[in-house]
Amino acid sequence: MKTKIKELRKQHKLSQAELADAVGTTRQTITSIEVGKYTASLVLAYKIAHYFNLTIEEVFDFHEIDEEETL
Amino acid sequence: MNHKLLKMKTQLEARTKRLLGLTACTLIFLCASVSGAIPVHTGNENTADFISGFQMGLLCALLIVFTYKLMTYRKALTDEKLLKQLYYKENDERECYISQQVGKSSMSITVIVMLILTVIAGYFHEVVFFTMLAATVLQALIQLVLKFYYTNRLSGKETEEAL
Repeated sequence: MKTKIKELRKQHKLSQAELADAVGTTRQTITSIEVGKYTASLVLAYKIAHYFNLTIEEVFDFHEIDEEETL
Repeated sequence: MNHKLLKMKTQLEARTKRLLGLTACTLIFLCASVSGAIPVHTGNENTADFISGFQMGLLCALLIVFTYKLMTYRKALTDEKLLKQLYYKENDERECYISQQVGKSSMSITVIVMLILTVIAGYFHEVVFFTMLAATVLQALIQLVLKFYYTNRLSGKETEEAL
């Protein structure tokens, strides 16, 4: 899943470690989320969005899910 | 310090006590092994040396691991920043997910491999066959019990509306 976390971090001049510390996770998890290798849980997604004062939809790109056909 | 960190601190203190006990037991076994107080019972001298060497190596490795963990926990108990980092590392959702996936695959693979080895062992040695069989059955039983436990724990009860 694509996210805007990297851009938001750069805007706020935050390192991955600082963001990880702020939302209660590890730097490796933030890295994995940024490169799209790991999808954050609802709780973590909310914490990250809330940290940047944005909604989850503004941080995480759900277009791929919208385009996926339901089985 | 918030309540989660306080709870973590209490858990670490309990873990430190258990680790100290384990380290003491490991040291006792190691000393007994080195002194020959607990001999290895086997007819073959080469096999006895191999078993003894394996046991000592394992005990030394365990001692190193326990000492490292004790040092990590002691540091975390005295430094709030380290305590926080340890809390994040242990409760990180990605790490938990990785552990889950590893556990799921490895249990099934291990049972299948052990079943195959049990069959093969049956052609060569009776004691090995029964040992492998017992270990395989135990592992499969543990997997089954845990599956029932977690299925029940994570299932919601049907309400009248749903029915």
